[in-house]
Amino acid sequence: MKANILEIQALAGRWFIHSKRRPMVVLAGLFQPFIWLILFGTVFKNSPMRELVGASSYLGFITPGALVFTAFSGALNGGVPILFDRELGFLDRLLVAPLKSRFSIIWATGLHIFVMTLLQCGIIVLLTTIMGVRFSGGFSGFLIVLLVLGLTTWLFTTLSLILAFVLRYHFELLSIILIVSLPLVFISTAFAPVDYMPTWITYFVSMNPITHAVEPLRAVYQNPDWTLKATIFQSAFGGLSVATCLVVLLGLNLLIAFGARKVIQKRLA
Amino acid sequence: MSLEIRNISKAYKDLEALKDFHFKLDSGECLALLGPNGAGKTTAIKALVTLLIPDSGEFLWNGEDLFPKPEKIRDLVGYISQEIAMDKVLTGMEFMKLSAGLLHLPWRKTQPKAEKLIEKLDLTQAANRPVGQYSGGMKRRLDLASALLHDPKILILDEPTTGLDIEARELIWKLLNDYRQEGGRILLVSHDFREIDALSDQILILRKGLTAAKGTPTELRKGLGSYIVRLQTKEFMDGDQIQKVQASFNSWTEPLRWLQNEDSVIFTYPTPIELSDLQTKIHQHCKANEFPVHLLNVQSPSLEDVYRFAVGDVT
Repeated sequence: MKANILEIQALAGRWFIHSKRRPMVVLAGLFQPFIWLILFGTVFKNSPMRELVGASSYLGFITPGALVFTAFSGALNGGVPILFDRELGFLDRLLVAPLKSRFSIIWATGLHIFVMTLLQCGIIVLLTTIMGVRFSGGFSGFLIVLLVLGLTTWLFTTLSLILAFVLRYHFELLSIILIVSLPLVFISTAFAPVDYMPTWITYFVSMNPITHAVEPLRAVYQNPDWTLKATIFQSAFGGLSVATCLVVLLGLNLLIAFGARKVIQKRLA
Repeated sequence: MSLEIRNISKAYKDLEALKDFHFKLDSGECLALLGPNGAGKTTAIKALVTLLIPDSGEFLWNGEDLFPKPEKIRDLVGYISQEIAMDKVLTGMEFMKLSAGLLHLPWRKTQPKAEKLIEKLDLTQAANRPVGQYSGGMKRRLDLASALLHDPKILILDEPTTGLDIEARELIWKLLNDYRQEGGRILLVSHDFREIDALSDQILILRKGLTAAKGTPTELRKGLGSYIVRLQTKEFMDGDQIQKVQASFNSWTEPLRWLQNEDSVIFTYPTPIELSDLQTKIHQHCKANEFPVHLLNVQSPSLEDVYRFAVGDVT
């Protein structure tokens, strides 16, 4: 166990040094959610939307979306450095090291992305608080935020790492990220309520894991009386509560971890 | 403690990349692994450092086959790959710290050793600079320092001094010789015959996945006979001229070995004889057969000759 901790510490430490030496990468991760918060928040400031979603402002409505988007995009890019390591031969260096578990490479990457996501989300929360958005969920709501961000990070980090081990070149992964990320965010309730969307899209929105991450965050952000079981979102397949959203996210995590296990095990064998 | 590699074979679909690769390496010994591109060196090295699983074979350490326990092999082996794969963002010392972590060595205890290795390899001044600012030679030296951090029992080095200046090479050779004197074993892949001469006790030459020659440098040189002769009857001989000259030597009673060559006649002369006597004999032979002598080079077999005869087309 001590050996596992030492190797995860060393591997994650490497990524933290990268983030420290290249703060632009961290800042770039914040740039897009900021733009959306400021731009969308300003453009749709007087939108009647706010009456529909029950938020005190449109900015308050999209803040959970921006948090999930930050976790999602950071995680989806998580496989890129691993793919660079593969291309440059550095991964072989890690594979010939006497690691107790080669999955430490995966754990270290996930840990780094999760910490960086929390840092970025902390900055977003600070900024939106200054802009007047209040968090109403209390301490238990805060734990839900951490849990949702953690599940979102792990889900998309695992997906990205699978791609990093399956694809051969980093530009292939970057292309997939580019193709996948925007539609996945826009076909969700991150920036617009589902009631404003055509019926056929609501099916995709209801299946989208981003929706399942945004809705519980929005519930705890806006509602001081939130509960685990109360319906927070009417999906195309029925009402969703904080608990069902968490179960869906957890289930997806388990499913993708199960799928990833064989792929990554084969590549790391 | 002994290392014995037994009959490693690996095929990629129809291509047999390595067949029955085997050697023994005792404490303090260095084996040089040579061969042209595609000979199977990379496959052999990758199997030995657990980057690929061979179809068959054994990695015997003190009589125990470690292939089913690759983590034990990784504990024993320090490896430097041909490509310098380093993290350019980390400093030299941070890179050593990362290596220590991967080897489960607590940094507080390992730091003095890391500093000593860095000093031995003349990197102290650069230790706190990002590796991205290092020259190729500095990266190679740092690579070696990190490979030695856990006192590996076996060092596997894939062209460790390629692209280095003479001073850096000699620094590395000295460190490797110190490592051997302390009981370490080295498997060295190199194309530098000076390096092979300076470091190796045994040589193994691969050709098309098979062992083409194996032995000590002296044994292999002796195996080629007394001399290597290179003869040209004109500056650029064509195939017909080479064949004609080669055929004329059929009258000689000594069993000559011929190396197929594009512009000259090259053969081994097996019998002990004075150099000048052999030169005279060849001149007389050429005169009798009416061949002009454009170039005649007769010398004792070198390691390069051993290599060329092992990997070239020999008749």
